[in-house]
Amino acid sequence: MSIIDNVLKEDINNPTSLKSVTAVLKSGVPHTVYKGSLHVNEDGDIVFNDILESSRINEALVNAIWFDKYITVNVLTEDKRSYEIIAKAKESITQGKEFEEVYKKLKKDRDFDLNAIWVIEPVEVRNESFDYRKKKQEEDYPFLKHLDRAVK
Amino acid sequence: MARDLEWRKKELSLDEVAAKFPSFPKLLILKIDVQRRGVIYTEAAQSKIDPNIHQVQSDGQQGFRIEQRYFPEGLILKDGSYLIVSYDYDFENQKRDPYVVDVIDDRIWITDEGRKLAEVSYFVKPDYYNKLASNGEPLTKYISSRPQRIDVVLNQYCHFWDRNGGGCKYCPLTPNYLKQKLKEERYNVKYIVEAVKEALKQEGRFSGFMFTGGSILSGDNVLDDELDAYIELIKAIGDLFEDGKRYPSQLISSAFDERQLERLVNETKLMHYTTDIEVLDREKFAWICEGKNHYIGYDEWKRRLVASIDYFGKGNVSSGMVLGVELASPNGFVSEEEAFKVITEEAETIVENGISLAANVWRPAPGSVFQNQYNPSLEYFVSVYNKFDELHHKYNVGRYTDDYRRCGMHPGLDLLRV
Repeated sequence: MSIIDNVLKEDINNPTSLKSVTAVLKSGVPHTVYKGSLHVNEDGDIVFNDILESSRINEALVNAIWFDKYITVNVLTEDKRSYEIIAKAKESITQGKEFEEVYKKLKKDRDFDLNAIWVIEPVEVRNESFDYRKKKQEEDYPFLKHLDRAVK
Repeated sequence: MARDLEWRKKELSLDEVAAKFPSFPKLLILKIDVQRRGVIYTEAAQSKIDPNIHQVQSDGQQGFRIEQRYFPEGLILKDGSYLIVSYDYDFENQKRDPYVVDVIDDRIWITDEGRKLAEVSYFVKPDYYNKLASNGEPLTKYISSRPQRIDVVLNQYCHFWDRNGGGCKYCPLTPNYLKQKLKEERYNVKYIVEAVKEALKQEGRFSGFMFTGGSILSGDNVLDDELDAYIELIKAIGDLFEDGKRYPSQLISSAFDERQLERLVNETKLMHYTTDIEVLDREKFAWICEGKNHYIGYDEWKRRLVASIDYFGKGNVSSGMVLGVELASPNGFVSEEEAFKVITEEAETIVENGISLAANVWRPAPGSVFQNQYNPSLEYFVSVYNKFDELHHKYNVGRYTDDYRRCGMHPGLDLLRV
């Protein structure tokens, strides 16, 4: 069962949400891209298209699947709610009927090629919305405050 | 050769090799070992083959296998790479146990001693399968395919075998051709083009061509007839593609000289040139590839390989080799340590020119002269691939030919993905 609930799934699948993927290159340098195609599938996994075979994110994702590294997905909704999803690479689809269907649509709609369809499995979700994090810090860590904000 | 029941005690295991090379992906070590040890399928795994969907071993062109067993042409791994396992497997004469493809919880796995190691799926057959050329022959007679590449084997017979002992001793292709008593040495380009046209109708399936075939030594100069044959083929297929541009294509041929290379580059739209040096040592090459040595020689083959960069450009030239065969008996290296030193030093003199080494895992193939030999340890293969990868990155070689998705035969080149 996926850890992504229906509300978050709707937010992720909403085309107005901004979605990024971060993975770490072999050199140790993190690399981030924005992925409009990113969505949650019926199994609760996160799926997105990688268009360019020579892309750095493709290198970083291969590094993740080979060495069991974490990947993060960040989602920012139109009304500024923010989520970080920590995930593991599950599959890189480079052939087959699903690949060809996506390829044909990309070619028809945008004259794009297709490198791979990446499937990643979420393992943890964090609400990173500022209002939520601010309230949580005030509740959990009352020590963390400049004194001038606490005076009568 | 009887199975050595103690073989596991005599060499490092998959896990031990992975622990020794922590920066080498374990999935690739497994791929190397599957190539090295071979693979068999349980009945459950065979029952997962749907002949309407999957590309099975009894389809298409024959060469590496003639047993016609009903096996998948290849396996697809979760990293999007392919594992080519479409070989005859010698069930009687194996030193080591093969890996086993089995079904566990309704999924297909590569296993060893019952342990799940990697989930896989089977190659999906292309749409042109089961269709016929205008002469009524199946299109699969004229072209074959990997998941993303169209392969054309132009000449089915290699004329290095004309001289007694001239054929490369690891190669089963011409022995299998002779064993099957085949007569049609070369196919008519017209029908190859028909097959290619049909294949290209499938959008998103293919991203390149690989042209190859047995060597043809005849002509005014050695290899002139081979060159003419490839030019006819590559031009005919090139006519299907945009004018004024090269198309994603690779030729693996005998080593052409400068005059021949100039014709090849000027008269076709070929993009990438490969000529296989096979064995990275002059003396071992002379023994193992006797025909190549007799007609061209190691030093001249290597010189022509390097010279081809002047015609195709850095990044567009590669060389295949059969890794491990340098340890074949009786004239190969005696120790893996010596072999490693010699061939990695020699490799640098090639790779430093920007030439990638597409090294196959030597698997003593049924039908080949070396069919009953032992191949080296997994540790040896991983050591060499690891060193080659250092060289490939150091000299910034091209990374997209013979790679994980267009070919799938060269696990060492998978390392260029990161």
